[in-house]
Amino acid sequence: MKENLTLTRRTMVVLSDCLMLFLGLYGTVFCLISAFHLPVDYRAVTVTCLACVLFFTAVFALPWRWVRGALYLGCAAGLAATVWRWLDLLALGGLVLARQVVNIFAWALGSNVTLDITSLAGETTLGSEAAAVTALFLLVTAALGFWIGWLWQRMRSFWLTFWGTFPLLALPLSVTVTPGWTPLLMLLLFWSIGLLVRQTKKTDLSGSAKTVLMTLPLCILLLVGLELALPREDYEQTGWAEEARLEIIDRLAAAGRGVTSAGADLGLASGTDQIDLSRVGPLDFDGDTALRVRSETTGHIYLRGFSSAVYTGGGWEQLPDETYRQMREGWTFTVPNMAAISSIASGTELSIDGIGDYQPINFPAMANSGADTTRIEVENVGAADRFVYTPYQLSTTPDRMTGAEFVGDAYLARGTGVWTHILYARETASPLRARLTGDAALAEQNYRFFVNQNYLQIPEELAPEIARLVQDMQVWRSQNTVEEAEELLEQGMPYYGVILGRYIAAYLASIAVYDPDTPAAPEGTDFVTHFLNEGRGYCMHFATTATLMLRSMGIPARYVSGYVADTVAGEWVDVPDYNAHAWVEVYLGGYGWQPVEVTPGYDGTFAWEREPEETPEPSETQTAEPTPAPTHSQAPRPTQNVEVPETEERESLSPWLWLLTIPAVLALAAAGLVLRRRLAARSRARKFSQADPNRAVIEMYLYMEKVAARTGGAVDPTLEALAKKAAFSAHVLTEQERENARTLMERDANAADRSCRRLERLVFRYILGLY
Amino acid sequence: MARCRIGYLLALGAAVLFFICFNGYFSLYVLVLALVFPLFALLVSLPGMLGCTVELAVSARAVRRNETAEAQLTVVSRSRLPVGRLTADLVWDNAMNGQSGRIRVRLSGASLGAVRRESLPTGHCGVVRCRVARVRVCDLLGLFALRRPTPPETELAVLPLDLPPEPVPALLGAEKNQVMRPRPGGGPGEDYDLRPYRAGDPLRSVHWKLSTKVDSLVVRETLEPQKAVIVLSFDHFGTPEELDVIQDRLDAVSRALIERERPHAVRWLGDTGRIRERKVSSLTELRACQWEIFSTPAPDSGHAGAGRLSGSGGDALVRSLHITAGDGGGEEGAQ
Repeated sequence: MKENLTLTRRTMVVLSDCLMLFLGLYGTVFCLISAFHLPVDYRAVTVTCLACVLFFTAVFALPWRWVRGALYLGCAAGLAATVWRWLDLLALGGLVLARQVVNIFAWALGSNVTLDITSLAGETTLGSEAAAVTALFLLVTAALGFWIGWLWQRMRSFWLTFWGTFPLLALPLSVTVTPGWTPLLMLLLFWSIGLLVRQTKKTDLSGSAKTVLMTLPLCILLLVGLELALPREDYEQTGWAEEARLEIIDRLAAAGRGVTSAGADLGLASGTDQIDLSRVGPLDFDGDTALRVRSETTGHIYLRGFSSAVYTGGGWEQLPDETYRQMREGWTFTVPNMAAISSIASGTELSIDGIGDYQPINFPAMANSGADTTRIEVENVGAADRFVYTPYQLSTTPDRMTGAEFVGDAYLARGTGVWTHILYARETASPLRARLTGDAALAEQNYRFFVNQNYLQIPEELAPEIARLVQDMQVWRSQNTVEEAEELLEQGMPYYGVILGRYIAAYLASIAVYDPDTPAAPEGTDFVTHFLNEGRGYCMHFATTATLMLRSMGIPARYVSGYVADTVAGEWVDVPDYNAHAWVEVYLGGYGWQPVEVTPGYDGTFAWEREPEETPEPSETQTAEPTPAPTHSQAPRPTQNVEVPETEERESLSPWLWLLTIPAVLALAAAGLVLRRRLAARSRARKFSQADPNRAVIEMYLYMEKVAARTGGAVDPTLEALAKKAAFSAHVLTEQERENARTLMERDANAADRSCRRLERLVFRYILGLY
Repeated sequence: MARCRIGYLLALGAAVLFFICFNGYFSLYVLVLALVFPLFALLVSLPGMLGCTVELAVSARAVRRNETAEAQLTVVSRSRLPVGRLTADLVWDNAMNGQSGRIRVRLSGASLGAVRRESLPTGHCGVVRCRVARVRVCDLLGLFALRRPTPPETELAVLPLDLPPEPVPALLGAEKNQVMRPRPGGGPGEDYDLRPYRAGDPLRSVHWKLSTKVDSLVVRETLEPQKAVIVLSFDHFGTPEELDVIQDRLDAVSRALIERERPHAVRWLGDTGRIRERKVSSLTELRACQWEIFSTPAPDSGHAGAGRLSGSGGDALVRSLHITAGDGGGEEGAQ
């Protein structure tokens, strides 16, 4: 829209365009420079910014199209000639820029990749690199100046300008690198003001310019005020935002990994800690990797996902949360009828202390504090993402655990965003040498009560069948098994539970065969009953039945799902989904939960049972170290891999900040002059409209005297006569006379203003405030 | 404004997402800025919003049918500051035929004032009433809006087509058989009548010579020819097109009578069922009469000739012309 602008308004438009272009150009260029730590000469680039602002504003303000076109061509030719002349320098600058960008990206993404330009550019010094990047950025500044100026001053479009500058800021922000604060604020200022005038920019040029000049200082106050209100130094992301961020990353990472399928038939992929046995049919694996494991030792390890406590006939469930709370805080135990073995009266209530911060999974390692510690890294690739798959004899205690959390005594839950866990275990910890001391021993005693209360459960309707099975087992005698049991007893194995577990395993192997194609139990049929009727099953059937048989014989036991891995010392090994497995844990008093293999065909020996081998030196650090997923964004931190200019060099920006005061001072001066004119006009209006018409006309006369003195004219005789009448006559002037005087005054003042030349007019209006 | 608000919500959503995904301080800063900035924009915009007024005018008081007429909406900014967006609903309706319409006018900027002209419908006769139903001024971000006072309503009369005056001989032909009636106030005259004296008669009117002959007072009463009262009536109902035809004819006939210096009455049936009548002896009175007609709502249907002959005719000779939209154009009558 063409507007017929007066000189003042045109000046205002040009001034506002200059300021806005400077904000946009300086902000964009220095955001790039500061984000990628480019070694440029700040003074040269700042001066170029100012020069470009003035030059392009002048060019874009030219009313003649053909002149503008010629100047565009001239600029393009000048730019091309400069590129041609500085080709080598610019090539080096480009390489340095590429190196800085790549290195900053790699650093921000946690990668060790670095780009070395020595092979392309040869040996360079910091000075030569700085000169090359500076030369490059002088041209970039000129090009950006034209681009932003064109969008803002010619196209008059905020959105085009925004989308023309935003990508350059989005580049570092995409890898969580924050550019320098000053250019960032300038860019925000540019966008904020642009947003305010976006609706009026095309239709009301002078109004937009006025808004820019008026809101600029207010916006600066707002942005600076916000920065003061939100301290930057100790900023930490809010908890919920952190969780949400990790959750998003987690979901994206999970989506990138594909749909979890590993262990689908063992209740591991459902993502819950419940197992629905009624749907368990023939096993079907596709061979995808579920876990990746790296251990310091070579061997066969069981990685437990979660254990289940309550058998319902159709599945395994967890204990209620309230029960776990009692486990930690204590509970009241009502003594059953134990007249035969104890003098405590039946029904007596005993108060049992909780285990506090102790975690039962740590008891075996604590009981063998002298055993070697092994570092095991477990990465969840495609297994159920709720659990951390933990080795037995885990020595990592809850207070040293990050990126995971214990849930009751059942499992270790994975922390959001953490897919790889480094855990420490004492694999050789043996129940034969178990010895808990101090508070840990007391906690274990209390936990033993808890175990006896909660891990002996059998559904009432199934209890007779299990009892019958146990009776059958007692009749059944396997010579090898008995010998094995006797051997264990000779070794000093004090735990009847382990021996019995293995005996049960042997018995089950004699009455059922391992068959991965075992069909699901018909509706209404108990899972164990179905297994016994079929005479075939796989790990879930064997483990479930063995657990119940152990419980039936008074041995606390629980069902466990997890993976079996064969590790090679120091190497990552893939654990495929068909390594998903189920087994039994029996509780050994004074030691903790001990896994027992009950499925035929599986090697159920553990490290403590094998011959002692040369083991690596134990690691000093035993803290669980979660490793975030590769996509996890990280806060910027200094690194040696990235060639970052020294702090002193970056500080060199500050001496040149004074240049920023030039537009600020100009803006303030312009605002002051406008204000001065407004105030003068308001003061005049008040004087001319006062209640006393005589005084008002005299004021008009005095004002016109000043105007006449400035412009070399004379006061209108009629006005002079009215003023004399007002001053010396006893009569009060009429309103009509006042209006006549006002009309004469306005006419003469307007004529005086028009008679001035442009510069004089500016002085007349804004400095003297006479019109 | 809805678009601005949706855009702001999207921007706010993006700021929240940025706050979640970007763990640096800048994301918090941007989020707080996104929350605070609308209020800041409102405060900055308030002087402009409050200083903005709207005025409404029409380009002419009356135009002929199918001539151009415009409503002019003038935005005045006392603060000389721009407004984000001004939305005004310009509503017009034809008082006679009931047609109406609405035009939404949008303006932005206007720090130095702005004028928007919108064409008004002049296709049918009637008084087109024009008003601004709502004036809303948005802030510079377009998120908040303030209502501003609406200007007074303006009216425009759409007159019938300027057809040639249409003489109706039947109305004027009756002048040949003139009826003589006593002239009020008496005075000299060629035609007179004699009658017995009645109390109150001026003594000047006594025919003394004859009175002495007949031995009673005889009065000479001056006579003058009495002109018939012309009444134009018309069907004030029908479709807008029919009403236009009727008004065109009425206008032509009435102007023909005015040219012949024949005062006449225009009579029609008002919206309340009451017969309305207006004396017309000049063009000014015709325009006033038409303004009244055009302001009276005309139903789509009605009884033809409802206001035809009844009315204040007195005992005078009345010649009437009833105008309809039919091919005949009208029918004359006398009483």
